[in-house]
Amino acid sequence: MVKSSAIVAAIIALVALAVTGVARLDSDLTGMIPAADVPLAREARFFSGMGAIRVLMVEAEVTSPSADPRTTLQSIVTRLAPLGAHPARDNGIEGVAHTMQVVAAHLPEFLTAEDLAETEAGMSAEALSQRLKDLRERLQRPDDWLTATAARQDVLSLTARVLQHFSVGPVGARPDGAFFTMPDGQHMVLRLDVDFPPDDVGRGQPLLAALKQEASIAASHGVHLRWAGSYRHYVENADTIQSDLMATIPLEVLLVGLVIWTLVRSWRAMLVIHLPVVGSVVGAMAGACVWSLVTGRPVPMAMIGATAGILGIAVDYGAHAVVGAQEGRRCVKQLLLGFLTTGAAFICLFFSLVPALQCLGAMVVTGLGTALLSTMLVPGGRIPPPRREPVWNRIGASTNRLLQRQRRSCLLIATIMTLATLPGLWRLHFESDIKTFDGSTAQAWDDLEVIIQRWGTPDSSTFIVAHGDSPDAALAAAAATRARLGLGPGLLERLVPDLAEQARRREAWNVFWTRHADFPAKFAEACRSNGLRPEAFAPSLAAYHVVTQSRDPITPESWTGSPISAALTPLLHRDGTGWIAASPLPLSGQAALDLMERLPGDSPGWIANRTDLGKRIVSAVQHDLTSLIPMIVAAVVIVMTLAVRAWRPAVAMLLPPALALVWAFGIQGWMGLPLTPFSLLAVTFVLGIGIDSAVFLNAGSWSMSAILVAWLTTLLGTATLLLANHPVVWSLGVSLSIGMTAAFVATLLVTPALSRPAASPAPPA
Amino acid sequence: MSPVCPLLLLILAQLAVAAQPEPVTTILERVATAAKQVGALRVTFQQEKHLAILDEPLITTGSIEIDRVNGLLRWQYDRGPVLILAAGRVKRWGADGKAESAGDDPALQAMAGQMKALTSGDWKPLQELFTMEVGHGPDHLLLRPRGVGMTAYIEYVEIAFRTDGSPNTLVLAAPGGDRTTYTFAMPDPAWKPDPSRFAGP
Repeated sequence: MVKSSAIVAAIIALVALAVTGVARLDSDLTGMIPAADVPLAREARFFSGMGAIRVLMVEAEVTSPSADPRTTLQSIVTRLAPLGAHPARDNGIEGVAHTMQVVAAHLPEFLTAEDLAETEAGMSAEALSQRLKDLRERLQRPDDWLTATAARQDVLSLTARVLQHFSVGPVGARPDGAFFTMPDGQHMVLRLDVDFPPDDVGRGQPLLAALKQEASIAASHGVHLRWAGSYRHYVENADTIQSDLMATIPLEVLLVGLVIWTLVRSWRAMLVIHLPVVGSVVGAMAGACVWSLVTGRPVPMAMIGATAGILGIAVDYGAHAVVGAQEGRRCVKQLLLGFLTTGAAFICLFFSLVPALQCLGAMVVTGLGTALLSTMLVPGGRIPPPRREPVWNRIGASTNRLLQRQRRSCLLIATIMTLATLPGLWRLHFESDIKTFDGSTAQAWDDLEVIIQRWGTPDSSTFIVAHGDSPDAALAAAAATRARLGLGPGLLERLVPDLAEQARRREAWNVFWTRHADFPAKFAEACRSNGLRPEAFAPSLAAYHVVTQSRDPITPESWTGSPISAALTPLLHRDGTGWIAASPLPLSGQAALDLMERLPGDSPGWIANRTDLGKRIVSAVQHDLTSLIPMIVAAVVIVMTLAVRAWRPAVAMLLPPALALVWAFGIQGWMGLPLTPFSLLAVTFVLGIGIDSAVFLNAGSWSMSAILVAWLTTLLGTATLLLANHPVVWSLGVSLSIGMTAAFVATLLVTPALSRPAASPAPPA
Repeated sequence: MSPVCPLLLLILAQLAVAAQPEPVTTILERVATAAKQVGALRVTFQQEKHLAILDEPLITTGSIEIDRVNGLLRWQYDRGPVLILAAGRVKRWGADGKAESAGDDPALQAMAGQMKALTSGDWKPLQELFTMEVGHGPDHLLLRPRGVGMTAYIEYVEIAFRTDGSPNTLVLAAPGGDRTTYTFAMPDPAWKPDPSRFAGP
């Protein structure tokens, strides 16, 4: 009674922890970054704070002379607005007018020395007279409604001089309302800001579906549509994975079920075999939760993939436990040994500097531990043996006989295979192109390339980042870093110059107007000579004069209510420690990397480069994992040696998984398949099942049928992944299929050959 | 209090109600309903610009042709530029007949809203940019910019409608004394739209 209560309590506690673990899942990239890699962690934190780029670019290309791309794009604006996508450029007249008002109120602070130098050329009496002559001519246009009003307020167009720097549209393109048009007139682009992040696939799917429908309609009107942005990649990846799962899971379940049925031939046994499976998933998530609570970090979302490997090993445990129970054996010792060796390997991950790998270690240890405990619940006497001897027993027996007879040949074959696959290891390389992990369509990448080539990147991926106790301190540090790199002011520095720079500009402004103290007189004369009334320009003359340094400076708040405000917020924001200024750089890829190289070490700011971040994270994780391999090998050898206390069985059990890894990766090397974090994940599977098979085979030939079935079910499960279209799922299928087959063959060839003959214990009476 | 007083107050109140100007919504609905009766029309106008920087007014004449069925408008100045509103956008041709870029001209955008209203007879969408109130006459609609930005360039727009719903005058006033007044002639409802008139000059 007490025992049952304890088991129920343990199950409830595990389920509660697992549910909490699921609730603590997070896709934050910082969980994938080694704690010691401070710059990389800082960069990931920065981009995490900035949020994903919420931009969707839609290009309309004219394919028929009568086509009207503007109408097509206008229709898209209307169609997508209820779905959360809106034109990014607020060119509404109120937005433009508001922006002009902010600039006009702070002309001395916005105009740079270069701007004033350019203005200087128009300050002569002749130049002023020509300007007013042009103005008068312009006023003759009957459809000109606002020029006269605007000219009275700023006759030298200083506001326009400042505003020209705020244009962030594609180079060479002409703004046209919410759109940009190329000079060829054949291409227009619409930049949409989306209300939700790209990983909200549930909202992204209808958005993309609507775009697809609009593309069909547009095609019939002679307009070809292309669109690009993270939203497309997220949705297409989700769609691909969904269709892959639909294509593989039913087939996998059917095949695996059939094979297990041929082994146990009992519904009760079929159910019982899955006890460790359920236990492993609950245990893995509970382990992730405990790790999360201890470290205070969220559970990295990517680690959920590890449950597939844990699940496979748990099926292996279940098959051995049930077959043993049917034969009246208890195989706790073998299961425990398998768990201890696999667990020892993964406990080493606790020493990893990558939080996600630590979490993986916790998940595997607790997941397999729970699976092992679940096998204890298998009711030995209540699972009847199959009425007819399973075909696997006969296959197992004949395989055993063959292996026992051909021990030397087996070892020879294993040696030949090792020698043949070893050179493949030197051909192995880590995948450096992160694009290959993406399951988007080729069309998505083609469209992205065309759009980037024609219009530039959808948004800045590279920033100069600077921190400060106040917005001004952060801005000053960013500006200083730009100066160190020989770069002029960027959009951020133009929108909100730091206070010292504003003071310098006021000084330059005052020098300028002191030098042009005769401007009112000269201007009045120019007005009279052109038949204009000088007194009507009083607002301009009131603005063009020397100012005091105590004026209100430009601050982020100056832009409140204008369309600039929304663009400014991510560029100047607070985090837990202070203010962050992010000055966008119009660079990406290699150019951004080159600039990072050039940045002096003592610069107050640093460079964040989003395009390269994924690649560097993968590289850091791989480096960390590689550095742990000696420790993992040592741990497994020590546990095995301590457990069996004899070198021959220890080697018989350890050599097969080791050889399996060499063969698997060697074959991958020969096949030209690169290593990925996902193929490294497959190692967990290969190691776990390889060790289990070797442990059981070393215990005796009685478990051969379970080993055969465990291998076949796993192989069928992983081979169905080869039907997948998603590159990650497919590469996992390839790695697992090769690895599992290698583990199975290595176990068959090596373990019986090195084990003592007739190690099989007699079944109890 | 004399019993006459309540009666007097009641009469005064009645008079006050009778003198109250027509509500904005009534004007808008009446104009929209009238517009629905006419599928196409042509109207001539005179434009008079009084600019603070010029001593003399700038006077021009022109015509407006509207095809309400297809949402098209042609705004032509005599011996001057042509503006055509089609598919919600304004295209401009200079006096020499050459097409000019009009896409990003904020002033033209401001007028585009009023052109669309003229075309459809529906002035309600302008409420996004302007507050609306009854102007200096019972059929006068007074529009004032909602945002602080536009107030620097537009003080108000006042449109006086005739009883048939067609505009009689339109005044565009800017701060500092700039004022443009349009006076519209009686529309020609018998006019038949020619599609080529809305394709270009």
